[in-house]
Formats: sequence, structure tokens, C-alpha cells
Amino acid sequence: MKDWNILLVDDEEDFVQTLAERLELRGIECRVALDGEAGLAAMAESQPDVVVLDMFMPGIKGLEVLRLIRERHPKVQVILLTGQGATKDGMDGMKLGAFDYMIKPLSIDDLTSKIGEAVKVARS
Amino acid sequence: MDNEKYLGRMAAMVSHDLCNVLATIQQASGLMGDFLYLARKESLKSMGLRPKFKYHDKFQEIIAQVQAQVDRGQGICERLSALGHSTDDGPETADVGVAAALVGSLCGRAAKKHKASLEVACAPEPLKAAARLIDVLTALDTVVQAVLPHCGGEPRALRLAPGRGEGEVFIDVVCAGMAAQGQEALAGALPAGKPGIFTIGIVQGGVRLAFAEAGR
Repeated sequence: MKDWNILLVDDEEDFVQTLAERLELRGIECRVALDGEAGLAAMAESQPDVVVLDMFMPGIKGLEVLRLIRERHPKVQVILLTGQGATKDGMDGMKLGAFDYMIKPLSIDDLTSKIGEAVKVARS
Repeated sequence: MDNEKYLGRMAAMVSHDLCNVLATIQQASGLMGDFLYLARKESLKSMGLRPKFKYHDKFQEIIAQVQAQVDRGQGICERLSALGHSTDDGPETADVGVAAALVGSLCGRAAKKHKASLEVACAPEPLKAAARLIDVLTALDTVVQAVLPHCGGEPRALRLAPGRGEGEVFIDVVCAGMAAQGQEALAGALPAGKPGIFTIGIVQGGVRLAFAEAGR
């Protein structure tokens, strides 16, 4: 197991639980939160290296969650997940300080390597 | 206008929901693949004492099929999303190359009904029309539907070729195998242009849909 601390925030429960299981099979332990509020609460409990954050969730929107993370946990790196046609939102997120954005559906190998890059930056 | 915007917004939302469905299917089938891989690894580790899963190869094949369909669905999502966002408020210009590519992929099924395929030529440069994307898309779709029944030759192929003329950008919708008779029939059934937005005229083997070039 890698000693990375990863938090996945997405309201699509089946998606995010399966993603967590696949990452764990690759030696990456993850916590899961199903909305922005729960994500921020999980971060207050224990600060992760990287947050993988869906942009479109009920409650606090992804970009607002991102802004709060940057404000409260400036070292934490955020990878945004967007849908097709929402690349503008991804770019807006980059302007707000996201590490990168990825488009759903996404390859597990691409996500794994992106998380690895983000952890390096978070710990530098 | 309001109906158009409503449909655009709905298409973009449906596309977003579809994306989430595909993402879940993709990860679930990927997880099945992960377990299949682990099962084989464990079977090899036991020096063959533990029997391997009898349907391993068949399962692997099925997982690959699911992944291929996810890729296909992702393409559909992309096009649906582009179609949905074509009604967004924004610049009153549209790239006819982008529109041709979008209609080329959206109308594939309509072409199949006429036993034809659609080909889209790559635009050599950005070709900006002084029209909204939704106007370019609807005009091009109308032209494609008008040309398809007259498309001949073997194999039947309709080609969308974007280009630039004097003060205009255009998309030629042509069929190499169109007979003279077909060309005549097409000329008689040609849809009307829309003054100030686009013109429609006959060219060799098909139709030219032309827009005033933006910024001219």
C-alpha cells in the first residue's frame, strides 16, 4: 500500500465506491464523501494529500468546494472531474487553483498517474 | 427561441447524466477485469493446484465489449453535449468545419437508412460563419436530408466538405455517384435558403450551403 491520503468526493455512490475499490487494488487507500459538505468535514478530520472532486453535485457546487479547499487547506491538491461539454468549468477550476481536471468516463490508469503527480506536488 | 433553449439545456443535462451512467459502467466492468486478473494470478501462484476460472477468456472478451460500448457511448455523449450547447447564448459565429463534423456524426443513422455513409472532409483552417451554431446545424441537416435520397453509386457515400469562397464559408454536401437524373431531381427539391443567414445552390454532385464569413 502506498502511504498516500486520498479523498474522493462524488454524489454518484456506485461510481465513487467502485473507483475507490479499484484504486485500493492498486495500493491507493481512499476515503469517500458523497457531497461537498461531507468532503469538507472529512478534510477537517484528517487532511488528505489529494482530493478528487466531482464538479456537479447537489448542495455546494464543485467550484465553491474547490474555493473553500484552497482557502482552508492550501497544500491539498484537487483533481476535478467534469462531464463532456464542461471543459470550460474545468478551465475555470484550473484558474481557481485546481491541479488538473479530467473528463468522465475516465481511465483508471490515467487517474492513478494523475493522483501520483498531484501527491508529489502536495508533499513538495 | 425559448423552446430551442429548453431543448438545448435538456440535451446538455441528459448528456451529463449519461456520462455518469457510462462512468459507473466503465468502472464496474473495469473492477470485474481487475478481479479476473487477480484470480488468474492466484491460480498461477498455486502452481496450477487451484483450478483456474473456466470462463476466464470469455469474461475478458465480454469486459472488452462493455468497454468498447462505453467508448461508443462517450462519443454519443460528446455530440449530444455539443448539440445541447449549440443553443447557448454566445458569439453569433460558428465554425462550419466543427458543424460539419458534428452533423456528420449525428446523421450517421439517417444515412444508413438510405444505405449510404457520411464522410466529413477535414477543414484546412478555422472557417467562421456569421451565424449561430444552431442555425448552421439545422441548415446543414436540412441539406443532408434533401441530398441523401438522390445519392447514388457503389458504395454510396455522402461527403461534407467545408471550404472558403469569396466573402463566404461553405459546406459542400456531395455524392460522387450522383447520376444526372438525380441531380435534376435534387435541383427541383432543393430547400430554400434563409435570406441574410445562408444560401443553398447546386454544385456538381450535390449542394453548396454557404454563409457570410464572420468578420468580413
